[in-house]
Amino acid sequence: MDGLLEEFGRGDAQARAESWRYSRHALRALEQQAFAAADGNAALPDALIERFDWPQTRGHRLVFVNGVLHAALSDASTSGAIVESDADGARTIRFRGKGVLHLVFVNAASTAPSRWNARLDIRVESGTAYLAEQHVGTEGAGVLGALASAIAIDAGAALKMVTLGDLPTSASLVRCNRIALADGSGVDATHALCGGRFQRFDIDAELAGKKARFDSRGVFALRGREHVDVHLNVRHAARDTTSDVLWRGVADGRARGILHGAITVAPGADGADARLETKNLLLSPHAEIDAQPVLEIHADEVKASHGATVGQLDERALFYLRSRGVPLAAARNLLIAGFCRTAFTHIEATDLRGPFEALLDAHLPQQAGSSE
Amino acid sequence: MAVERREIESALNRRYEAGFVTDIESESLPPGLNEDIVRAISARKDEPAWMTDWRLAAYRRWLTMTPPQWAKLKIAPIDFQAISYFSRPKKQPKSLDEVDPKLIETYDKLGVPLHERAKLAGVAVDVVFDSVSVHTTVHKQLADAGIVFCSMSTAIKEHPELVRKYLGTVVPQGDNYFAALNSAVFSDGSFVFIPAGVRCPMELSTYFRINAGHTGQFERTLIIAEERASVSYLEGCTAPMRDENQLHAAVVELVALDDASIKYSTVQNWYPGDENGVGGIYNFVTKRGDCRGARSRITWTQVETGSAITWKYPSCILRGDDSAGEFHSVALTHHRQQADTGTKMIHIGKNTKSKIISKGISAGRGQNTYRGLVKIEKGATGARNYTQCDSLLIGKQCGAHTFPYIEVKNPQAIVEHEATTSKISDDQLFYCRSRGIAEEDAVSMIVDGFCKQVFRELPMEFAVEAKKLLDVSLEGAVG
Repeated sequence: MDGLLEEFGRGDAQARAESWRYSRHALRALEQQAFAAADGNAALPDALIERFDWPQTRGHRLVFVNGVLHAALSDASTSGAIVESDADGARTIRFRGKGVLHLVFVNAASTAPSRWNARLDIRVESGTAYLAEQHVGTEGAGVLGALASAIAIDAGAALKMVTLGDLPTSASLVRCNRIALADGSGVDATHALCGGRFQRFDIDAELAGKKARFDSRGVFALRGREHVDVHLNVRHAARDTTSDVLWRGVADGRARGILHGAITVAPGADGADARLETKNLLLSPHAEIDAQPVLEIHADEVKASHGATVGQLDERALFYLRSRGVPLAAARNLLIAGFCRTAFTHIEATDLRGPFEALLDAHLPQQAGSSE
Repeated sequence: MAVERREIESALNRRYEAGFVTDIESESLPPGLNEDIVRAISARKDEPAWMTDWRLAAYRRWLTMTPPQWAKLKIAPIDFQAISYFSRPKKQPKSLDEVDPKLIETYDKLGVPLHERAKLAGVAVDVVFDSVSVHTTVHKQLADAGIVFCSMSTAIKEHPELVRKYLGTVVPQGDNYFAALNSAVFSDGSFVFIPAGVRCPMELSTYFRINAGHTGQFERTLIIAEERASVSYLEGCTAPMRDENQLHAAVVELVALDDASIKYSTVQNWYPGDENGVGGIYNFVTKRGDCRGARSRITWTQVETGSAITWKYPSCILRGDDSAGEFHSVALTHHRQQADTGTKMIHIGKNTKSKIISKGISAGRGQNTYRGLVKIEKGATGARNYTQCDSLLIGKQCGAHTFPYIEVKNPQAIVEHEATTSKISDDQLFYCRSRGIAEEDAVSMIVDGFCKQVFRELPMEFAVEAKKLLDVSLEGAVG
């Protein structure tokens, strides 16, 4: 393999091949396409702007169109974040004290397939930062975006982050969060990944400082031919670190969902407490779920566990709802929604839960008409 | 504490009890591997031409392959040209009376009931010494039931139609690097055929021993259970202590037809190397069962305490509707042992079920990895899998790893995987010690409890042996 795999994968050829084993075909399909550089000045329809113009984040917002900062739509004057642009094109964002920032990435399609790359360097130096990351786009010829975010949390600081991936079916997105946590710092992240043709999301968290804490929650709800590949790598490298990972996956139609969740406890990282849970619903005979929970433990004062399930809706729960007069389709949707929402309980800023629920509702597999 | 520490030290340095060398005249082929060697092995065993061709095809396939790299193993490159691929005791015994007394002594030392004791124990034993099967007991009783239990070389001569029909159908020649090597040079192994409707009246058992230096052992076992047949097969293995790493690359194939059941149990106690990781057996084994028939069942049970490196995944292909596969494993690594083991459950038929219970214990600098695949194919409606992998850590420098792969393509399937990693808690130890139980005994008790789910699956005699082995292997691991 070459091309995109060289570009997006890390490590030697074998490590890359292993890490992309469930997405090789998706990647090859993209590789066979010729991409032009995406237009950073594409005009955005009003309907699209409405989708991210949340009133509560005005003055806290940066909008990137195909990876390029859109000055007219961006206003982060009251966000408390210091935004600078790096010499080599990366954007650095620093938080001191409380900060709230809404990042919007627009995949604006044009008449020919196009692609963009962007890099973010985020650092929380003190206090608690709130970060909302949103991915939207317009339908058209495919856009392939690549977003690499390096996130550093200094000692004692915290980051609460939510990401909403709501891509048009023609867009593909490869992104990674490489997170480094210093002493006593914490990250609390909730992700929802929906839509798109292919989404790959790498989350690498290095708990490098004592008592660092990492929480990751997420959902992917897929239908059609959507393909989402989530790779989580949590590394406990210092004493008394904690991680908690809880993901939910739903696949309908011909969709494919992959969750690789690896917990590594390095030698000497005693007192680590690591938990990982992934539960998945497979709703169609043509869909596929691949789960790969991994534990690598090199210390002994450790509590580590993981659980993974792939199954269907509970027939008894379904029967219960129907016996109360809820029609089958509605009962199924209710159960699926409940199943997914378990992952949203950590969203603290209550006013952000709205967009999450709306996104989920819009993307839940439409079960109406499906047979019993 | 100081006294205890000394006791622990002495226990730690306890020698590998099966590590003696038996001085028996043996004839070996010169080290190295090429087509002539493959032909020579075949010729020494008076094999028919089809077998020689089959080996040569495997050898040519092997030449095109590269050793797998994906396992998390620290392994020195193996020089395949430095290994002697065939070694056998010089005297070929006609009956047990003619078997070299030293050989009998060897098996007595190992506690293998070769002689009359076999009957008492109700176990039929086939013994493979270095490359060649030296004796199979209670032939007659089995033959009366229509059961064939003999060495592979005998089977090739006496039951060529069965061997040709089944050999390589579960693990093809080119399946993987070590399976291809085995197919080319396999020296002996056991062959079991249970005809339709027969329930094997006793446990069948094989003991493997590598004795000569600079040799590898490449046995090939084939077990066939026809419709409604059932059999329980046990295997045990030991080797002398040597400073070199010796290669053991076996292939085991199981075929279960409609309503048949095969239970395959292993207590593996190859020489693990010393505490600095010098010497020991490389145990690279391909074991696979094919539940070909409806309602068939294959159960793998393994207790892995030996070998410097263990690299094996006894698997089940659940092809027949309503077939079931089970995998129960205890793997213990101490000092610098490495174990990368697990299973594959491939669900193809409808309503197929599989259960995986894996218990890993790491002590010293041991590295223990569970690696498994549960694959539910599109047609496997109603498939069900439950997997539980628990790891126990004893010591600061050991490692326990879990790499499960779950691939589900059928929306009516249910797959569950659970894994935990923990150490023996201070609370548990304190509780036992406050009741007057010594620390070593307490650890042994806790470990025994940890493994109980698996030991329960072993036949009685083996369960006792396994528990003893575990105790010996673990002694001195607490500090």
